[in-house]
Amino acid sequence: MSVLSSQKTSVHSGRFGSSRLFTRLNRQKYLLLMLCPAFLLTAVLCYLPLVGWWLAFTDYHVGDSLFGGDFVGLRQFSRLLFESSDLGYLIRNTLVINGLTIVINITVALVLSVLLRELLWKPGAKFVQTILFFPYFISWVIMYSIVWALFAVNSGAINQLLVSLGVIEKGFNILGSAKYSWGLMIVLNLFKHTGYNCIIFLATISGIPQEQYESASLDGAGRFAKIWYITLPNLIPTASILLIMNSGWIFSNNLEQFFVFTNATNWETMEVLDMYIYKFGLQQLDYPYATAVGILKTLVSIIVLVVVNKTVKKLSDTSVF
Amino acid sequence: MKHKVNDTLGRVLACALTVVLAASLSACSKGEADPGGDSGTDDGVYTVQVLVPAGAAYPTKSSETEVGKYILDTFGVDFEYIQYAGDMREKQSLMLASNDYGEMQQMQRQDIVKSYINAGKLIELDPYLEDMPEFTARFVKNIPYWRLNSDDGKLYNWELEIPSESLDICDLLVRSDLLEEANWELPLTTDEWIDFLREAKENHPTTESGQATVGMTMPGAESYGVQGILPILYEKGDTYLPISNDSYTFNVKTRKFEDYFKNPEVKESFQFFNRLYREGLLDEECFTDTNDRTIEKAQQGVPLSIWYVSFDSAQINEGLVSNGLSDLQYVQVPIQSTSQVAAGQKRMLREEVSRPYASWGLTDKCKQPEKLLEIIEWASSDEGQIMMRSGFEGEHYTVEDGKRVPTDALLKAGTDSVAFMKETGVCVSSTASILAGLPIFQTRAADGQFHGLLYEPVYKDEATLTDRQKEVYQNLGWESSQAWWEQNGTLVSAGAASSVSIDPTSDLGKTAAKMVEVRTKWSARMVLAESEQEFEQVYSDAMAEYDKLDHQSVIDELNRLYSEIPEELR
Repeated sequence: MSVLSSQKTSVHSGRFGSSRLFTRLNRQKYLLLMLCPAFLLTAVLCYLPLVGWWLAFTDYHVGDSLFGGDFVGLRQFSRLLFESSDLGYLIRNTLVINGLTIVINITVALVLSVLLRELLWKPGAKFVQTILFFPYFISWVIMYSIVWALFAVNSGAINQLLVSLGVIEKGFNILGSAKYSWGLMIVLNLFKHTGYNCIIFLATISGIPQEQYESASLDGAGRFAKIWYITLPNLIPTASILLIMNSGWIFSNNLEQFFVFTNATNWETMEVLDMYIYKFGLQQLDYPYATAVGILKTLVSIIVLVVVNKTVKKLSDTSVF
Repeated sequence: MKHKVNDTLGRVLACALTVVLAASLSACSKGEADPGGDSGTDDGVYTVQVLVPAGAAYPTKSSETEVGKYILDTFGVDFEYIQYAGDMREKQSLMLASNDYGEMQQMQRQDIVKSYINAGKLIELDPYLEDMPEFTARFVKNIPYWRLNSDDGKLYNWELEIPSESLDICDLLVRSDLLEEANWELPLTTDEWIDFLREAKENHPTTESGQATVGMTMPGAESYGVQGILPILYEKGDTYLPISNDSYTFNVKTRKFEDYFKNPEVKESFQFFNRLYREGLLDEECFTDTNDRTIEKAQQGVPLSIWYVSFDSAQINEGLVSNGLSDLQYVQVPIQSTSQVAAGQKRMLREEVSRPYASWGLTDKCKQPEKLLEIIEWASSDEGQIMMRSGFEGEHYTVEDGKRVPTDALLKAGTDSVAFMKETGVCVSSTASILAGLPIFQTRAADGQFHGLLYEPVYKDEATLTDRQKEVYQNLGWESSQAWWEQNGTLVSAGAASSVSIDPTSDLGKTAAKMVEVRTKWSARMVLAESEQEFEQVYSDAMAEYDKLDHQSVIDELNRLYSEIPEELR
């Protein structure tokens, strides 16, 4: 092909490329239209507020305009990293609770979904799946009330039962003792999110070609062999994706959950980064400091997300991006 | 043809879905009532939206009450109450930060008042004082303290619930059946109360319904719980004035601010609760109980005593009566530390000239400040205050020989004040009035009687106490429910001490906040120590962490600010 014709071809390719893009967009215009509200919502509620990060670099006072405070540089960050002794136990609590929650939630959901799939009585499996999903809709305030009704030291139903049976002398102070905090939060997270995670795994299982199971049967594979060699390998990519996505949230917590459960007796093991941000930002009106903590948390979360994504990609060829 | 119809249908559905999604987004964002105020004038009525704490007493609009109707007919103003169930201080700050505050705004404590003033959001009231002789005369002693909130000495806010000639006491509630069993011998010191409760718990290990009783409880989960009322034994003596739940107390003898956590009487308070815990008398749920939960337990007779929250006694006793447990009704009794009694200390009764917690102001969003100030002027007068406190002549009181005499309707309201207030707008008790923002105080009118008739000694106990409570006080040998405090108390004016505060956003302000945080965090650990040695160790560890903060600079700054206040105001 001559240079001239190749140049003509490249010009035509450019024009052809942009018109191809336009054609594709035009063909999918209704889908894009449906996407607009979600896109706008994300842009307005998630990205536009990032302008407020400016507060972390200023000496903002409540009542000032957003850009009204004097510029102070990295003073708030230095205050958090070098002057405050709080970071240690906050990061410890956040990582322990979230890390264990992620691992246990994914593992339990994976096992449960495999077991549900193996249940021969399908209506029963559906019933169990529905029941497992209900806690997802219970708010943390209701959850606290349930835990209180069951485990209040003197009046909790389970504590009262155990004391009356002579199993224990005094009720477990689950809500008012630092030693139970981590276990309590992990168990409650498991209770609340198992059904939701199961659904994701069950959807993946339903997408596994039946021919694989039939071939395995023909080869004489038993039930456990099918689970080990077919079901689990097909679930690993989904588990990996869940792990990657949840790793980005490892420094974040549901504020509502910790707001109701944190109190004067268990703060050592219950107070997490988001509660700290809430305390300084909204209770003590120290918006610049709280914003700085939030920024650091976000940046570290992004780094963790990228590292986990890369690691998982190397190990299993699965990644989110 | 069919393919084309399907395509068209698909497009129509896609567009319709997009519209629905967009509409639902818009609807979600308008779900909450706007407490920032979108007040308006409708048919000549000036409606003002006011943010108030959530409570059963509040109607939707003030005109639903008799007093509110009078205000509407006379001044053409109706107040619309937007209830808020969360932390009010937080909300007030958020409203300022988002420029979404009301026309008439509550501000709890000086730091928030100063924030609003410094942001230029409050209307200066001085130009209007000429037309407000009642307000100026009524608050002649208080206005100089209110001016201390602003750097320019101008007046931007007013405060409720002052001046007050009535005693506002919060000591200890105890089940009356226990006093009867003890032949009406009343303990006083913390040691005596521990012995009393120990014996009472042995005699009453469970309630009639089988629930385990507890020696003492309190609403520790409330914001004022661990931080405020747990260490407050110091206020039962005559030396330290309770200013706030912050990092300092005020020594009325030396007229100086002192460190809160380092106060020996605060340590005594922690020791008292630790002893209660070690003796198995302290309700371990108290750290996670809200006020509602404490009331719920008390209405079953579970706690043998309740720390501090005497303002709940009417509601608690009402519940006990309806549960058929009338004999268990709680009465308020005094408590002092053993060392306070040994030192012969009287019980301090605080006279407030400033109450920053109940501050209100008109903001720059106020459309008709003159109209609202007219109502405030009226509320400051005898006529307005009598109506707000005693109701309407003929219906709630009659006048005989120049003196107001309460009718049965008003006397009945003494034991059912919340429902009465919701219907009439009349605040007969010391609880905050539902006519939020309007001056409410407790002094004597020109006729020599209290504005609130039920505060007259001859009517007070008659109207507000149940028969059981009257019986208890009679058996204790008291002339009235406040007799002990009247005989053993000493009235101390807080002066300007209540008005001093450090800018919370300054470095010292942040240190002060940290001081409170450290104290609060270590409080529960001290109380839950398993032995005296462990208590001392935990206390020592707490002090070691506390000493890392520059707390003395905070106290020095407070004393410096106090010394700059004119002598006559101190």
